[in-house]
Amino acid sequence: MIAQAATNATPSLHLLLVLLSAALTENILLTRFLGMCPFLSVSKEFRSAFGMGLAVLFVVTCTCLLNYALYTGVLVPLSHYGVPAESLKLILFIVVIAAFVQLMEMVIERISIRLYFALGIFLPLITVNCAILGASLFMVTNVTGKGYGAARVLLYGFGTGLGWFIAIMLMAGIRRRLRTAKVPPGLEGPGITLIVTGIMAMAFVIFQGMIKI
Amino acid sequence: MPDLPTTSVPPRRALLDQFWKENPIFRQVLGICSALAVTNLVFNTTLMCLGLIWTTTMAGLTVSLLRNAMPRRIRIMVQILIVAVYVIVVDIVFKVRFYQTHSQIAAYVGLIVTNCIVLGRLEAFASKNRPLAAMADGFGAGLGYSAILMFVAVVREILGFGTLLKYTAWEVQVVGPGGLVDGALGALGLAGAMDSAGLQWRNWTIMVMPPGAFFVLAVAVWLARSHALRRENARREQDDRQAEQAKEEPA
Amino acid sequence: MKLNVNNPAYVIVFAAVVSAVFTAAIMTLHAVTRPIVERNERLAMQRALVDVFALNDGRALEDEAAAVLYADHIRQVEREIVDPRTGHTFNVPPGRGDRHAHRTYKAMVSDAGGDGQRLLGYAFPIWGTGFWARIEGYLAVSGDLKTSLGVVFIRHAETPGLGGRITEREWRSQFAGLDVTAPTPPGRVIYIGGQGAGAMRQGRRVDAITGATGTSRAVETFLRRRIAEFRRAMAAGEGR
Repeated sequence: MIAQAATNATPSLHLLLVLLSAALTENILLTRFLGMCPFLSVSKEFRSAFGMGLAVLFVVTCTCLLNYALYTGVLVPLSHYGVPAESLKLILFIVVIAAFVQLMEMVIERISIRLYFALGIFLPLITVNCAILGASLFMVTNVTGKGYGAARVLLYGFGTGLGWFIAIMLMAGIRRRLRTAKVPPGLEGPGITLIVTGIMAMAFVIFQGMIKI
Repeated sequence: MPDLPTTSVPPRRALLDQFWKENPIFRQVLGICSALAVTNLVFNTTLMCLGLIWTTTMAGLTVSLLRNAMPRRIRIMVQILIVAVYVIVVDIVFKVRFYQTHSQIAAYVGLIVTNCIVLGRLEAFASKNRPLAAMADGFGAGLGYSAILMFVAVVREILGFGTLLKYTAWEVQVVGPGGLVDGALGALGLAGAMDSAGLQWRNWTIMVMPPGAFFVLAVAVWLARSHALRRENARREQDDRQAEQAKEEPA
Repeated sequence: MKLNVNNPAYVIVFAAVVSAVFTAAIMTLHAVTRPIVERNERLAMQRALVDVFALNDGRALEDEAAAVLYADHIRQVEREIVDPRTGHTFNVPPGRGDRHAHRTYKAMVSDAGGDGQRLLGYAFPIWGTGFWARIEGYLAVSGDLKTSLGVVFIRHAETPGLGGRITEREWRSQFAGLDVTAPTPPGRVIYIGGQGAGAMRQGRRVDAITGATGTSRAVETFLRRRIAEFRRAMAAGEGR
């Protein structure tokens, strides 16, 4: 039913569905496996999970927009002159992401030293977060050339970050409970976290096919 | 700011250390992101591992060659750029040689760029060591990582499809009708034992889907960790025993 | 004089040189391999078109055999085919447009009476977002646009063994002989999955793929859209 609604949706409903599909039915972490490294290590503490989740949310939204602008504004026109846009987009995206995070680090350092120290270790970790690069790469195939342009990309990026945020918050909550559980010695740490992630991924399978844009 | 020093670790030591002792997957389970998605088929995983080993080795070499010329501030970005270049080479080679498989794994090959292991090794080792050692270190890291991925892939494909190397010319049926298991049972004189017991192989579809990868990887980590813990305990007991003997000696 | 590696001017020069060198290397490799990649794509497409018109009697063919069948029977349609409502182009005239432009093909087979050739049908490009990424392929329909002859998928990134099974011959063979006229009342043109009940769905239903609900639904959605658009586009062309 929702799938049917998607096809006849008004633009605003359509955009809402883009958001929901990016966050839930195609969750960048639980359905597409991306962003696992920081997910596994940072979800140990509730507070750091929250900070990391918000940071990722912010970065992925901005970089998706930036990359979309650069891809359609620079690479695609250039491709008419023989420049291989498909091969070079990887370099473009990753450089933009690294530069953006570097910039963010400098800005935060200027604005608030406290925030800088609180986020300290995360910022370099964000650059290597597969989810952020993955979001930009999937954005090119799923979102471009379909109309709605920047609004759709914005919501797609935000939805992706939101999905990652939801996943890491869920995991942080579960791991907190696990602290008082009796885990077999070999499974402590990464082992049990992976099993929990697998169960969460199974739960998210429910959402598959619910929304099809 | 002083230049980063060059330490001298012999290449063979570097490779062995990376592969076994410090195998990142066993200890830290980092960098599994991009690769897990392709592990439901052994052939796809093999290609992915080859691409990864090529990338870690060549990126290690390149970063090491440039280590004295690289400015501090843009160090990370340049390392990422170097990795991206080698990944693109892999992507192009796959498009040329393995056209069919390429579209299935293309997205995930691209994500080798953000692989924590690759970048971690470059930062920790290649930027501080000589080219040959850095190359060996990269090769060893890639190899260790590939070992884990192949383990996951073999388990996932056998349980999920019942075959090995499906969709290739070397496809082998392992479980299910006409498979290796049946052949083995026949050789032992137990042909038809499964049927008469009412057992029939059904593919575990969960193994083909994302959750399956997490479960198999958890089991792999469990096995490795338990083994490591047992070794540690044994060593500790040995140390304790030696300490006690030393105490009793003078008496 | 020791070169100060952290001098800002040096940083910029270094970054520029490294970027330029590597980008040039990539572009060179790309240029060198382009002919091979294009050849692979062309051969894959010829094989796909031969398959979708069932000119190969459902067998997999070697490249040369497929190329021969292609040369003998398949031609690109001459006129432009554009859907007036969505603007989607199904065919640009031969010789125009780039490598990635959509093209529609027609297949001519020998008449039973042995004199001349008759139109077997059209194969038009179909595309859409699958569960993971874009899926591209061709749908072949009879000359009167009433019955489907077959479907073939050229590019997809679905999960091998699940959504990836849309390329399997067995699944695709369900698409031969389906009714693809516009349904009354308006609804899905081809039903993928679900228990078909009622005369409406007779001759319009194929099985979905177990464990690949997302892909099955996605294919059904974009098939319906593309069929409707193609029909409109052909009708618009007729009027000229």
